[in-house]
Amino acid sequence: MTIAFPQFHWAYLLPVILVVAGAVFILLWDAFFPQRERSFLVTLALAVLASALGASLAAQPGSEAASMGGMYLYDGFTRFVFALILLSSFLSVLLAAAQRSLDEAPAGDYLGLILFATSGMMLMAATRSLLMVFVGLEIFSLSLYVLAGFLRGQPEGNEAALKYFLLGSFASGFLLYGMALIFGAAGSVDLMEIAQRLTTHPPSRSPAFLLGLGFVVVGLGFKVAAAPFYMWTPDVYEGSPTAVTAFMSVGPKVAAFAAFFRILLAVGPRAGAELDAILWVMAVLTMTAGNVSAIWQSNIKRMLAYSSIAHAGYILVALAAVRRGSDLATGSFLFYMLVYALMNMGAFCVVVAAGARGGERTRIEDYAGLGYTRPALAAAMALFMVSLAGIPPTGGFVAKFYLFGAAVKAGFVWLPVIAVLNSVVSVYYYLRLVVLMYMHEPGEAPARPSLGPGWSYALAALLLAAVGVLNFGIFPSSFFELALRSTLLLN
Amino acid sequence: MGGFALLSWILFLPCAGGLLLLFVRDGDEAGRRRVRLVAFAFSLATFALSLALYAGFRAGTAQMQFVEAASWMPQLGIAYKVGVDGLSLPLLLLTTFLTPIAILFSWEDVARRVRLYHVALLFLETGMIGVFVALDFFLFYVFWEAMLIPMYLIIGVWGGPRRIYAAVKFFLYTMAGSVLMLIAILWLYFAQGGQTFDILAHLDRPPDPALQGWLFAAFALSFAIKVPMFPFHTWLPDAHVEAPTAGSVILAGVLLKMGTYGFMRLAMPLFPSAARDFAPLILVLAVIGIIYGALMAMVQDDVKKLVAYSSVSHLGFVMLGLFSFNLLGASGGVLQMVNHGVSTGALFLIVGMLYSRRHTRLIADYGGIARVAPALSAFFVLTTLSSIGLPGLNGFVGEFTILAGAFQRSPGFAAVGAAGVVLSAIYMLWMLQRVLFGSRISQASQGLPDLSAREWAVLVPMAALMFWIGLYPKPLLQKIEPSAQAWLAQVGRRVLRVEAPVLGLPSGLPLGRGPASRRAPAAWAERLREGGRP
Repeated sequence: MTIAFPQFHWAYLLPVILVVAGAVFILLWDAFFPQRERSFLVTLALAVLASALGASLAAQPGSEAASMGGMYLYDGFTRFVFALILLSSFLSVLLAAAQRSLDEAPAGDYLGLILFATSGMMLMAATRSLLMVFVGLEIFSLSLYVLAGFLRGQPEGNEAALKYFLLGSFASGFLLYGMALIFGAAGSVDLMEIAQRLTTHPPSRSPAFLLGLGFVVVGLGFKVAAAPFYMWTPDVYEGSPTAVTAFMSVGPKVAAFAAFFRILLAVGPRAGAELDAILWVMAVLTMTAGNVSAIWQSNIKRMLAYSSIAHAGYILVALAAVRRGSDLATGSFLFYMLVYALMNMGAFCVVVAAGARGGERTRIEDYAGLGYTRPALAAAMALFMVSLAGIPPTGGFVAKFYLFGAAVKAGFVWLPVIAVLNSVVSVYYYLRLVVLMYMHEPGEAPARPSLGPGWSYALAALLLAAVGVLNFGIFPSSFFELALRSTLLLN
Repeated sequence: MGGFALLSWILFLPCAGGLLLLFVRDGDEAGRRRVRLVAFAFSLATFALSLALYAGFRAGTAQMQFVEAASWMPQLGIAYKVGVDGLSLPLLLLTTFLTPIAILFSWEDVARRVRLYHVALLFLETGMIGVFVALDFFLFYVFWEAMLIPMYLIIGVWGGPRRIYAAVKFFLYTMAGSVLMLIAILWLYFAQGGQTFDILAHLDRPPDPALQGWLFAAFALSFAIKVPMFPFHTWLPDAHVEAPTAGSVILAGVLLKMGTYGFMRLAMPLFPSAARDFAPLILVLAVIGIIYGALMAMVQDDVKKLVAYSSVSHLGFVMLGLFSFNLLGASGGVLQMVNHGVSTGALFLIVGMLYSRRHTRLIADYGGIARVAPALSAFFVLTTLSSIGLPGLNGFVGEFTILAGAFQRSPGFAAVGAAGVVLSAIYMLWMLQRVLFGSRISQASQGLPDLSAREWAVLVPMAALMFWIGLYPKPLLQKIEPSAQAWLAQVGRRVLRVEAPVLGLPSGLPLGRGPASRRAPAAWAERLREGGRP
């Protein structure tokens, strides 16, 4: 018996290889030369991510030869998602370098973990095989469990890590069990083969398949923090170091949504209308729960946690539209994720930068009068809040416009209506921060200790995010075109 | 037009000024002065350019003029497209006229956070102009929403004691209305084949009557909140009372007109049959607004609140004119929009001047002002007379034309509207009597200074405009009328069923099957044509 080895295409694998190699190198370097400057490792990590981004942009997705037997799939969708993941890792590394409370932590460890997590996300997004989805998910989940509790001295960090780990493993179990059931019912872990099998054997006669699909939805729903599986989010986001929270709010969502997309596109059209209803209800519940809960928060990280839940709800709208075959849905999903990555990480970046003089500002009241004590920082925060709320002329508005357009095109009536009403609710809590920053007087004159050494990193991240958000609000066309053309390779 | 994109200059000059101001320091008095001068210069330059636009605007045609178009998001058929016609020109001029006045008034009125204030004001001006000149749905919506933020800051940072409540309420109310319009825009776009967001293209091809009911309702809700029509008016008194004077001037002068302009430019001609079906409801709400606003104004003891409620009443007239579906009503409506901007703007300015002298807005605290500040009082009287529609001043022309138009449609509504005119005379004159005259003059009002040179400079242009529109409105009306006529043809036309794919929508609103839709459309148009030309 001979085993047919799939052909390897190094150009397509290069981005992942670069990230993994960089992670290993950084870990080892730190182990052997612990006395070196931290800035060296940070620069190295940034260079690795940038070169991986360059490599993935250079690799032209083309023929199906890129599929490598379905385990690794490099299509236009993968390329865009890689760019997204690498962008969010890039920003996270900048944030980690800027965060004061991470100054004393071993840099090699957390930078290496961020890179490992990045590689896991990339693998999860770039595959047609359910097994690979799981492997990628576990790689980034395990790295994130450690990162969540990285500040060992803080009890909140420990709580966050433990909670994330316990609930996350539980969800992984669901996912794996679901995949096993699908494998049992369809006889393959390859999405293409599963889809073919479903065409000949309709799933309505296979309860195992439907149950399996349901479990997969649960597992992925946990990772993207969709209702009703979002309960862990605020605690974990609050307890983790802010740079890690920023990373968690974007990277895993991109990867898990990408996998969700592939699964839905392959099996969705044949899985029956129940899936429609499930996605509809999930989207509505997620955005409503996120927005309504965010109103009551007094901690900015918790508020942003609930806000990210709400955004997951909006993205689920795109998923529902993709299920219905709206050709606008994939492009608008990718564009939304791009803008979301920038604005959400930008907001966390302000949180890090506001604590750059020591002492994290995590209570919302800490931001009172910021518009007059630190005008540029407050202006950036206001920009990100306005964008998150979806008000023009920011990227957040354009992204929502495309997304809801896709939903309307798919024939949904109430879903986009509920979504826009939700964004009115969200305006209330996003603007609360603006109210505090501009309409309240600053508290006691703040002591002004010197800025930390990482200040320039925070500034770079802030500039990148702010320019991006404004640019996508005013000149979104070229990137939207790119997103629209980043189609999935189905077979 | 040559190579000079005049309209885009007008549109973005204030915005450029705002960006420039970000780099001007306002740490000391000289810096603040510099900020004010730069802002004033930019707003004045914008006004000068818009005068050039007015001069170059050809009367006698309903065509869009000064049209500029550029590709923006070709994937969805979104373009940057702007232009003016007789409906938007007066409002554009009003905007560019009121902004320098607001800046001039704020010279001493706003002493804190001067730079941010002027940045917000200039961004606001761009947003307002954008709403009036946009010829693309997406562009229109961008300006419609983006303009909320500077206004929100102006109310919330420089407003009165309950400013935050008022600012948030203003924002949420407006936003809640406009997001539904966003969905309606998307809906319309896809129902019409998903080709273009060009407003003019959609105006040429109204959607299927079955669709129109819902879409009109969504647009109308958004605009009705902005107007504001009864019962969506509750944000207005709060916002007006708490806003700083210049904010109130802009709010009353321009922002409210966006609602009526929206009805006129979009909601009615886009969905003509739905507009006719909804007309009875809207007319009833309009006259309720007229009477209710007037009665509420009558019982206020706060001058600013009184003026705010009078706005509800006056804007009811505009709606009455628009939904009369005839030429008199339409051109009266446009004129009344401008008139209200001028006279209510001037009222807010005068109230602001009184407030800066006495730091109270309660009517009871005043009395006998005419004896200590005769010039201020003279302007107050003049503005009041303009507001209540004295012949020879601007208010009369607008209100009379509207009532004549309403009478053609339905004498009943005209009669109730006329009662509103009487009521407005009562509450305004009564207020005037209590503030300016009377034998008792309170201790605090003794030695009240009269108008300063800057205040003269603010009020004289306003008064000049009142006289100009009141005595010689012909040049302005000549530019409005062709567009009003074309508009009338659009809202009066009968709608053919279109063969574009219709999305799976719920069937029309119950209102959509009202008596008007059963009437033969051709007869409708005929009747309109008869009624349209007196």
